[in-house]
Amino acid sequence: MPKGSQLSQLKSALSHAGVTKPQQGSKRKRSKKEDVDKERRAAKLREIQQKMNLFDVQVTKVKHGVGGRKIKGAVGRPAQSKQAGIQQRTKTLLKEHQDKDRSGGIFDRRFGENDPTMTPEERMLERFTRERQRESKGAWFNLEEEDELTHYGQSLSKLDDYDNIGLGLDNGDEEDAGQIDSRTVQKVHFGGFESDEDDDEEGPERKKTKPEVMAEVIAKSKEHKYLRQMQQEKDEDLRHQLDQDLESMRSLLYTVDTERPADEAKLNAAVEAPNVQDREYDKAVRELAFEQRAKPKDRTKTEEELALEEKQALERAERKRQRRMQGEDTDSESENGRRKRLRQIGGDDLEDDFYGEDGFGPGLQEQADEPDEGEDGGSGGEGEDGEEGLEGEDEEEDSEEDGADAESEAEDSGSAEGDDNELVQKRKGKTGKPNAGKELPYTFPCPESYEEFLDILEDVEGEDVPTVVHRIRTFHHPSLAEDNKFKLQRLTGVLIDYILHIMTPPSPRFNLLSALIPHLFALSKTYPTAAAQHFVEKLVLMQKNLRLGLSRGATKPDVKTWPSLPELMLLRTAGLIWSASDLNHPVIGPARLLMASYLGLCRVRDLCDICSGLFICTLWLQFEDYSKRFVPEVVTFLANTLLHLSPHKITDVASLPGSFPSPDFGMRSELRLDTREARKLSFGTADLPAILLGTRDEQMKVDLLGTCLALLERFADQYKSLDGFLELYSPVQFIFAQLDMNRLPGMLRDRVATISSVLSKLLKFSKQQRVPLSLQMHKPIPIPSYVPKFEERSSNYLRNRDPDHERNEAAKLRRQVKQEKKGAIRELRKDARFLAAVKQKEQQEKDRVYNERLKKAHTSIEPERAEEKAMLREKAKEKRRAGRR
Amino acid sequence: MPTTNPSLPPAKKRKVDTKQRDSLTHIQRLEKLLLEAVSEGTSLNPLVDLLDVTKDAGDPHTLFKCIYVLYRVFASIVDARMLVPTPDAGAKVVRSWIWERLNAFTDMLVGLMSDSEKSLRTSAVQILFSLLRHLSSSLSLSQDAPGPSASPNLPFHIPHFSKIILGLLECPPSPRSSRDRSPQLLDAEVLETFTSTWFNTHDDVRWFFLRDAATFVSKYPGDTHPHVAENFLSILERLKRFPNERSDIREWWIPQLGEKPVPLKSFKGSLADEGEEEDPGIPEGDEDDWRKFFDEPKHTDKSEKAGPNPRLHRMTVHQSLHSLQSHRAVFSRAWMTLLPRLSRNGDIEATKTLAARVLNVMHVGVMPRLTRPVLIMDWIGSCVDYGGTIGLLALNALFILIRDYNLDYPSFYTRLYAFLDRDLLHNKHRARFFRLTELFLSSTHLPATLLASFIKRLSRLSTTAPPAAIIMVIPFTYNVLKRHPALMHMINRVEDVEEPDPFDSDEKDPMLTNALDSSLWELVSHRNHYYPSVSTLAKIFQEAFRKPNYALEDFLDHTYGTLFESETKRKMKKDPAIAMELKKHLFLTADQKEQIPEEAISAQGDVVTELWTF
Repeated sequence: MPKGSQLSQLKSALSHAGVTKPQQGSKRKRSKKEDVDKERRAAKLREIQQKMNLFDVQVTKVKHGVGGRKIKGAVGRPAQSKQAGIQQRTKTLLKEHQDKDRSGGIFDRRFGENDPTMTPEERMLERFTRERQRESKGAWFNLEEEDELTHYGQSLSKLDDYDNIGLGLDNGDEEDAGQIDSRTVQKVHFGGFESDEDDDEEGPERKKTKPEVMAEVIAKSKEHKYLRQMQQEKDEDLRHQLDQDLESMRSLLYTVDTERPADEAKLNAAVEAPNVQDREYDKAVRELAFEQRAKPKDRTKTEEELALEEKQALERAERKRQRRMQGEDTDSESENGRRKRLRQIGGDDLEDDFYGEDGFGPGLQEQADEPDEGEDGGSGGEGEDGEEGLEGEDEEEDSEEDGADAESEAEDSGSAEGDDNELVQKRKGKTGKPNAGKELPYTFPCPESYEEFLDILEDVEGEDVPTVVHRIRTFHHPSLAEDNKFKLQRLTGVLIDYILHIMTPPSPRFNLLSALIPHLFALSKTYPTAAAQHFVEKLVLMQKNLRLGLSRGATKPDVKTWPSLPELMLLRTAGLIWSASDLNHPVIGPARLLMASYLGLCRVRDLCDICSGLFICTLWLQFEDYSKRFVPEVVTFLANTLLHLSPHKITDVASLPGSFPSPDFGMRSELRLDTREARKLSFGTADLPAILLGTRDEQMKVDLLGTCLALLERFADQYKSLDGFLELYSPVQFIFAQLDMNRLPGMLRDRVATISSVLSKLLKFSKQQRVPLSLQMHKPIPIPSYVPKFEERSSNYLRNRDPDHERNEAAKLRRQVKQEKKGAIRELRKDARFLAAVKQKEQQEKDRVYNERLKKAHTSIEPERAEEKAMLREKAKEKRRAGRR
Repeated sequence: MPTTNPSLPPAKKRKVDTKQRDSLTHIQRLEKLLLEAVSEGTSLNPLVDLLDVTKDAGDPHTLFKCIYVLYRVFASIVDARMLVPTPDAGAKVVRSWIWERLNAFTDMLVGLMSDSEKSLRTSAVQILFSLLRHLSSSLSLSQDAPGPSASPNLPFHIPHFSKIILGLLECPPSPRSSRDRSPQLLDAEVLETFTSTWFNTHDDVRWFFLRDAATFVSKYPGDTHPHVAENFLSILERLKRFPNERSDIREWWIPQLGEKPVPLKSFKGSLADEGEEEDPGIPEGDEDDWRKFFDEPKHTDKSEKAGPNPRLHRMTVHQSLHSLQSHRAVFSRAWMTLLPRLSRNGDIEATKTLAARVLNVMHVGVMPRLTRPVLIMDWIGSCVDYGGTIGLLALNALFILIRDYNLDYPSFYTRLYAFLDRDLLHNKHRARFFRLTELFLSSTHLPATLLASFIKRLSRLSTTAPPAAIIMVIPFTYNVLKRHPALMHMINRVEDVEEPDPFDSDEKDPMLTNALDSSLWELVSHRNHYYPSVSTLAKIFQEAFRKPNYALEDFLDHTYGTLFESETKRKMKKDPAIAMELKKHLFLTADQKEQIPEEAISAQGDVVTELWTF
């Protein structure tokens, strides 16, 4: 809105329109032009009047006004727009309406026919010119027939092409003396022709029009371009010339260089020779440039520093383990693992450990190692600090494993014969000829499959197997060949198979197993994923076996449900090699579930089953050594085992305490301790293979019961901090109370008594500590608020912003269609209203005409009627008079 | 064979071979003779020879040939209308003679259904049913012959069919096996063939089987013939297709039965004694037995649609075959006959197994098809009262009865509470129980005391439960807590109490256990569970209860197996972690153990080495 009062606005508007300009030259005659001017002024005035009339303006109030923002449709002029609409309709709709029932007709399109301002003469003249123009139109671009191109009416063809056109450069070249000013040029050289009369009237320096300026600029730039091209071409030519001449020039040069007359061939050789030399030199230089600079080595670390480093590494590893135990992600962990494999270059590193470039040779190193084995044996796990580098890790394990090996040699030589017939039949032919004295070969092929490995081991004695594995691993070190990595990964699987094999009853070879495990550990450490896959494969197989056994009937005595010795040992190996405290672990996770399902699903039928179960419980204890997780199955199994093995006073399932299931309760009374026999026995540690192999005597039962008690105690210790410890262990305590102490062997009785007292102490403590749960002590949940989110890019929340572009576009279109439709409906209504008004007017007109006509008719007959009536009246009067008379 | 072939196999084998071939040619010759005799109307005496050969044939191959030859012969005899009754007296003698032979053959086939040879078993069933078709169509021919005016006969040969039923349910021993075997269970293949080919496909066979087998079974007391009821159950279990609408009844083994039955009006008078005069050996008493069952639906039916449908007990057999109600009626009667015969005196385990089998199909396959499901109420009620697995399974049927049929089951929640025993979470059917219990406890009008008892009890049970069950219990508890905020005290008690755990686990009535004043320590201890999913799930109780509800269905059907599978299927994203260091002294024998000092072993912290020797 403009500022100021209405009056000042009016004034400014008038002055702006130029209407207030005082009439000048009143002497002038009123001409037609003046009339037109008057009309224009009137129109302007009307416009101003309309604009100023605030009664005609309709303003929509804006709710949140923002300065400087213009909103369409905020101010409207309903009267004007209505007027405009009516005008528009009269032009179109009314026409249509009027021509409604009309057909045919001629449009007069002759020029000026409908223009009342033109006189007939003017009309005719104009029509004539137009006709002539139309005729000549076809020849406009016909250069041939046109006479000539002219400039200021002068023929251009008479001028020389580039005669006097001012090209600056040329001018500069030719006339150094001074430029003639453009006016002179225009006057004299070009534009002149002495025919300009108006020259004086125009200013002395005509300002160039814009097209002229532009044309000039274009011409100049074109010219520059042309020149540049020319220059370039010239340069090109020159260069070409030079190239062509070079050959001859060069020959000249070299003949001068050699300074002796030589034939063509020699010359060529001479030219070649320095080339070769140069190349070699270049190469040498480049090599030098790219060679790694010799770096200063780290100084030799002191004892304390080494110890500190080791301690820090351990701490780091423990922190990571803790995180894994909590189930948190350790991203940096895998990275470090990989880095560990890279060789650390120590201060004393001589970089001489790249032996074996061309095969293992005669195995010098190995030979040197060979006598070591015996001596090294006792030293056990101490790593040899002197030897780091590629083999450092392996050596360390080697010595370790050798230690174990030595022990096995000392005591277990007897078992070797047993192994012979246990192994696969292939070896049968050679068993007669003992090959103990024979020297082991130093190289072995890497076994691709378990069968190949057995082939390799055909001539090898039991205690040499770890050596063989070690040699295979050294010979196929991943740094020696590309595919050694995969070979060693396969070796992991083969080793697992072999471990299962040597654990098969009747004569499991535990010494060999403990000698092989370090190798498996090292391999798994190097290739964790591959090794984990091998382990998981085996676990899946075990689970399948379990499922099969269960489907055949869990209680049938001959169905294999509980794991046998090899399977137990595989689980144990898994627990040793992998980090068992992890919450999520690809090997330990399935292994845990498998162990739990053994405990939860299998039914006790025999002492063997109890033994497997107890061993699994022990494994659980070992697995959860750090993490102390809760395993419900274990406590259930241990309580049931207690019920199976020990004499007690509980008679039926219903009187069992707690809520643990006891499906086999009372079914296997033969497992119970025979009191008479067992009385004098004392328990020791249970002998796993012996029990699993099927030996049954009271000693075993006593041993197992002892193990069971020990496990119960340890688990109680582990679980004492659980919230539900009271519920978990009070049944066990109840069973302890129900045990028939008199029928237990003396040593066990003492043990039960101590454990029972420990348990009751723990339970009592737990009961004292027990407080109601208060888990929901955190802040109360706030009521969700729906405050709009703020966005950085725009602050317009009114507009619908759909992230989906296409949907957005579609919505926009839809909105437009809707709007248009509304508008169209409105227009149509207005049309109808207009038409109705028109029709009504017509009708009124018709009625009026009719009424008028009738009125006219009435008026025309009225005097006659009056006369007639008067006459009648007269007659009546006459009659009356006559009657009276 | 007079000529000897030089290329024959060695003597011994040849002997057998020639013998076999002899018998085969003999059979072929007999067949040719008989077929000619049938076509020319001459003597049928070789039939006896053929039957004798068949009886003597010990070799399954020959026997196989024989029964097919016999089938062809009898089929052609039947097709030649030689069994159609005619007034001729001589023909009647011949007819009865042929009937005797045919019956002998049928008996043999029935026996063969339990033969040890697989091909014989299945082909016996197939031949029996093909013969049924031939015989039945000949029946319809016989009624065509006298003229249309006679009362329409049923084109279904019931005596023959009842023999088949005998074979299927009683399973008489095979004629081939010499030793006298005790009656046995129906062979799986025969069962499969029968159910897939006829019982589940053809509406007429199913109808007649249900009708006649029920009668048959009711004649055998359950104590002496336990296998009959079991066989019947195995067949009924496999019932897949049952008509739900009139238009579903459209598959016919005997095509004549598929024709539209004559409407009732046309033979109103002959209704009462319409029947199977032609069928010998069917006592009348059996016939009307199944109709008694129509008395029940008839009352309800009359009020609803008294108009076009004739009353069921007055229908002809043919009409009944086309009536949905009668299909339901025979089905109901079959089940009602079967259910009381399932219990075995003395053998509880067997009774339980059978009952479990019935309950497995009961609520889906049986109850919707019974005319009046209320009739099985007693049986279901006793099952629920029995408890254990049977009770769990019966809960489904009980629920349907309560919901749809207005059954009043007193102290329902006390009994439901009794289901929460020590074996519940180890039961195979626990998911089914939880599905229903979720429904039973979903009402917000239940008292909080009651729900508290359920939750507390479940949390007690979870201390010994497998992970798959704990996974189920936790969301269940969460849902209950969410629905009844009064129970939040069980996991969050602010005020001090002198007795933290007043819960009485021995109390039978869930209203009196004081569980509401206790806390769910047991459930919360699973935060330390070894299975990661369980431990994370158990942590929901200490977080804000934002989630409106857990869809229990996602947690129900887990087992050790499925958990293990999901664990092993998981891809290894990064290298699995290795133990920090390898322990020493891994597998020590007793002797080795003595050498190493005790402290060294316990110092390395390996429990296995401490507790075991190798």
